[in-house]
Amino acid sequence: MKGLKSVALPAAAAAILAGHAPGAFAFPCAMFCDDFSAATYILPQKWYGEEETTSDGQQTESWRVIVNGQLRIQSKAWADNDTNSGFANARNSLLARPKVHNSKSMSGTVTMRSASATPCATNETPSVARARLFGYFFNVGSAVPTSHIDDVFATVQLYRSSTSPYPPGTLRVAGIVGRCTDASCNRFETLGTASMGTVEVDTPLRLSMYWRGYPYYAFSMTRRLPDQQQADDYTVTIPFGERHESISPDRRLEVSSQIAHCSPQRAMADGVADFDEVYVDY
Amino acid sequence: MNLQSIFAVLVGTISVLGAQVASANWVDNFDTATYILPQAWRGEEEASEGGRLTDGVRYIRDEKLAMRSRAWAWPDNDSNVGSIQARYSLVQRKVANATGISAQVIMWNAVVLPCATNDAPTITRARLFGYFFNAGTSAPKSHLDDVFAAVQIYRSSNSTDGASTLRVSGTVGRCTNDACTTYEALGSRTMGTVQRGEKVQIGVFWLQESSQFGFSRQWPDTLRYYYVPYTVSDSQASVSPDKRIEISNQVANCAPIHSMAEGVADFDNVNITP
Repeated sequence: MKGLKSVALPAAAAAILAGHAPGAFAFPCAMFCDDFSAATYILPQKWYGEEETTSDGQQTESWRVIVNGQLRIQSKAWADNDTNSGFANARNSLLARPKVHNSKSMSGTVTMRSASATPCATNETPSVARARLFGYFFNVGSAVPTSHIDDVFATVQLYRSSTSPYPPGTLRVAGIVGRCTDASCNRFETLGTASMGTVEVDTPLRLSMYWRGYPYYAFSMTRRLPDQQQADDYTVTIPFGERHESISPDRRLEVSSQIAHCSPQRAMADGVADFDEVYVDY
Repeated sequence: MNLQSIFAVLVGTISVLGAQVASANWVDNFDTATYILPQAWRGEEEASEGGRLTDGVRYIRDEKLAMRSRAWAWPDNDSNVGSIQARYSLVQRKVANATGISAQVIMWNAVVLPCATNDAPTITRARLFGYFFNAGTSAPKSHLDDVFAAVQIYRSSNSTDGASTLRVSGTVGRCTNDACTTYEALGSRTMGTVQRGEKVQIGVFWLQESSQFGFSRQWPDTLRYYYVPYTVSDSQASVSPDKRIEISNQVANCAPIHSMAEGVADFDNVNITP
């Protein structure tokens, strides 16, 4: 649903959304931020990397480097080829080092350079390649130590599905809010989604997400193209608010994929994306 | 057949006998596709507590596997004691319970930042690594008592060699914790030096019949063998007998200037011995 522009935003959100005004992006910033231009390598005082696969997924090619003053991430991942049921997950991520509870927002410019996901004739589950901003925001259960169960996460992403009806090179944009249903958040319940249109590969897109808390119980998500004066706003409302802190309030930049298990022809998802001008409120 | 002959067979050298046995080996020269074959390999990265992997690359370039990994020691307590371990790997999945692995390796770059306040060296390695058996009771999901062997090209921050000189060595160890981030050394062999950018074939093999590990390094016309015997029990299987190609970094904890290690290497003609 669109339409939060008439609602006054708190200072933190306003600061995040300042990045949506063309030319308003200034570094250094007071919050946690990175435009990846301070060095030719990833700054270890700000970030660390992580690869993960689940459900018999396997990641082969991997890039996580600075290219032309931007963070480039690639992940090519595959699923099993001995079943036609279910899917695997994989991600190649860069995580912000600060782990600060009550962080409410995150934004960044994402340019997806390529995205491919091979279809599977014998498994209806789509394969999906995504470039996204991801965060665990709070916990709505009993905050079990060392477990993400009942953590609420939000993500805003560009993606290409193996079932996409769009021509090659066209990506979908979406916001998703979910609640983890297992300790490592491999499984989750979808709490709400926002369909945020399409964008072509190689097109920078400014994305943000912001937890509005009481009394809205909603995430604001926005997108803005480089030549666009005003961001497009979307809202994902969920049926409850924060109860506890998340076990680990990670903020991640990543290329992630869902890959259908497919036999005999193994399915694959491959994404390459550049990230720039990243803000996290702390 | 003497030890060297057995080893020559395992390496797959130019001897007639070696050539016959080598046909049973599985070889990847990374030229059958422009991507890493998923039926043969899976990627992995791992860092011990306080270790941070940042930059990393793993892909096919010019029909070789190109790998780069940068790791930092960044413990929360800003310690000057000990070091962290980090690796960026490709794990072979083609041959179950492989007993050996060899490859041509070119280490293009090796950066290690010294630490004035910690005697522990920082090391970057391009290496072939394997868990071969368990010397204890082989507990599920634990590498405790797994015996590993690795052959590696490396640069240490305390090296007195010339700037472009790298060391080659073989090492054998027994894991002393579940994740094998700590271990007891069972033996090692120095295997000379090599220059940055120089191609060298190296290998590591388990010679169970003679209770030792064999290491090899080969130039175009010279093959040298090195052996590390062991006395531990080798009748139990490792919990996960992985054989890996990797950039592996040991980084000294260092404050206030944090230490870093970065290795860049190409791997080619990987030969896995069943």
